[in-house]
Amino acid sequence: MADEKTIKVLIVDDEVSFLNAVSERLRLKGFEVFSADSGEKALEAAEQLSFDVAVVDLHMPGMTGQELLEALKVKHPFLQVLILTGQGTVRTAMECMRQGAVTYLEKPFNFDQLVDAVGEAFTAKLISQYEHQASELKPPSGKISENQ
Amino acid sequence: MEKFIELLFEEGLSFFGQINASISHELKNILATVSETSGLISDLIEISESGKPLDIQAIKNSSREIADEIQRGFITIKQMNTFAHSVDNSFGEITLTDTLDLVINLSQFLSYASQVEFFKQEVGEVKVFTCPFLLQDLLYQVLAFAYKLTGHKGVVRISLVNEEKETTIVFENIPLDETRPFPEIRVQKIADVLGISTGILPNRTGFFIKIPLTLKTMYKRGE
Repeated sequence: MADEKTIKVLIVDDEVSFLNAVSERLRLKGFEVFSADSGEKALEAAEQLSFDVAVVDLHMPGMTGQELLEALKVKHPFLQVLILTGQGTVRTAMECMRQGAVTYLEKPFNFDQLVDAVGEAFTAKLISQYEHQASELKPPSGKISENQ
Repeated sequence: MEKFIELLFEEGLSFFGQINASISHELKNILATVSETSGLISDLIEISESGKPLDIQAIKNSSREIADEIQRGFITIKQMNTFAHSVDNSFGEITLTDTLDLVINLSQFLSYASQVEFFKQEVGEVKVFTCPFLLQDLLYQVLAFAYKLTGHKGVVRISLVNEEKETTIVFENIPLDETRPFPEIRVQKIADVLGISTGILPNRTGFFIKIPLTLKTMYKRGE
């Protein structure tokens, strides 16, 4: 399990009371948390700061969670996005996973599930970064012995 | 009458589902907030048990948040109940301003809902004999359409104009889009059955619907 204290989390939800409570609880667990009450603000924050995991509500006015996911994945491919949904929109949540979200949780959820999901998402980020670095180091196929 | 029954099955069930989905979404959000806020109180108490001073202000704020959310839940359930009873009678007399109030409140659960200013003081109590459920469906679809054009940061202005045999509901401050003509097919279908006419405002700042004060004549004709 990754060291939770180093994990930087961006949490996005237009339900401000919910956002504040979850952010504070994650802080008490040792995460570094930035909260945004809209997709637009979240995108700005992601430009300024580097996050490991984004927790994104699907159902928001203006930029939806799905649109935010798409924008975040284009600009920050290693950022792991976890989707929250309060609707019976499991189909949309599955679509989000096809678009690159790491997992989804249905509201109301058990807080420990969220903590575990954030930890797992962080591990997934480390793995994908490692794999990316490894693929960049890999020599062009079959040529290395001839050149040496 | 056949058209009416057909419409109740085709559109009515879909509208009922639409409203149920949005109310359950709202209730889930409320429960999620209550759950997380009470969880925060537990976390703070747990931390204080390990020797850290208890953050009394945070506890006070959290309990106020919970009380607010519970109140929000009560209001939502009251709206759900009023809506559920709108199918009690196929036809009946309704107070138009009350119906509009309810539909505006229900439509505010839509994620893309604009703000609404409803100017109802000038008209007083307008009674309409109609199919309450289908009228709600029509008003909801019209509002949803208006929100899509106005955007969540916009303000839709609603006012009523009383005439002898009909009342006009005016939806203003809406940027019309030629690629999305008003009314949409679903609205037109319900409007036809309820004897409602629709149109664009002459200054193109929105649209209107004209509701006959009674459906009796048309009901008797069996249309």
